[in-house]
Amino acid sequence: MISRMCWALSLWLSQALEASEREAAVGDLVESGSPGTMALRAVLGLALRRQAAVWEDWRIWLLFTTMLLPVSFSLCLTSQAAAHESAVYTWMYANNWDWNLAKNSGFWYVFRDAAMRLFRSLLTIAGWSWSMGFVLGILRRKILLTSPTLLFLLLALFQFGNLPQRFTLFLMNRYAPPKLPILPDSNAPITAITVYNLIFPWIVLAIFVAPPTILGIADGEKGSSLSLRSRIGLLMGAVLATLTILPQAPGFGLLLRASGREWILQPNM
Amino acid sequence: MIGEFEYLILTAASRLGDNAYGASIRTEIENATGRACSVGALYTTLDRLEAKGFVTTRMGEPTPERGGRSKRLVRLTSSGAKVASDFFRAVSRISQGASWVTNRSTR
Repeated sequence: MISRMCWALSLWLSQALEASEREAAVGDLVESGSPGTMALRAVLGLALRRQAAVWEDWRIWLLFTTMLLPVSFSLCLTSQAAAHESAVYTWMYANNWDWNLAKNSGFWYVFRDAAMRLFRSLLTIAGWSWSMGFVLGILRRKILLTSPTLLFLLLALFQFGNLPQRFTLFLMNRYAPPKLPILPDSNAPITAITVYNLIFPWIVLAIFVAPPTILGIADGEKGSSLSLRSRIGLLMGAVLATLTILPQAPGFGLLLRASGREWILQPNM
Repeated sequence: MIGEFEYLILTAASRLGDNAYGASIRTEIENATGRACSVGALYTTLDRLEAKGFVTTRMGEPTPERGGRSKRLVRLTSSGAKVASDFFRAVSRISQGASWVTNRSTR
């Protein structure tokens, strides 16, 4: 029973290998009558060795430093900002609901405006995620397993470590005038609620980052059969589209633009 | 100069001739050394040997005993035979006079 399960797992894991290698390695294990546990160890070992070998290629390091690391951080940052914004509105409407509000035309004006703003920011996040996925998908097959896994690991790591918030605080401390008093968080009652503070960012990542990235990878893979010129054109377009995330205000944009610093300080000025 | 494991693969491929492929090479190495030979180590080393031009590989026909999967057949090249021969000579030369060769006491 365990052996059969291990064999099934080995066959699934062997998808990470190139087709010819999968054929040869799994065939060898079948021919030698290896038990499931041994087959699993062998396939896992081979897949890990192959993925480790990818890091000997300078291109994965280029991709990692120029795209994966900054983009995953920015994606996490913008997702947190969107999650925070949606949490504020959700709290505002769900926790303070009054049917009389629905009769007020002013309510619907604000509601429409908030919904549109939220929709736009979530759509933009999905767009960035898709284009990041497309970049990973269109690049050669060998780095395919490593790079998306790495992207999702980085996103999870940043989210677990709450690094975007730490980064924003660091920037505020770095650029704020020395005697500026610490601003009270006007949304503290909302951010104190675990669901809004911890679960919402994960929901945004799970719905607006992960599926578009996976879809982008699949679309990018389809694009890899195109001519070299078309591939380069598509790749450049996707890279540029993805990199537009970097100069956004709640992120590295704060480092690049004076307006970002003003944005931070604005409430107190 | 090649490494010990590379030498073992080249020698096994030479001994097996037309029947040299992943599983048979593994069996040869395991029988000769008494140690397990991992599939991962074998295939990554085979790739390295192929990149250096010491072996050539091609996919064979699918066989029923392999669940309808093909073998990766390995063939030793002349440069592969030369580096293996150089390795063997170097090991033989340096081993002359060693206690385990002459059966002398190691004290």
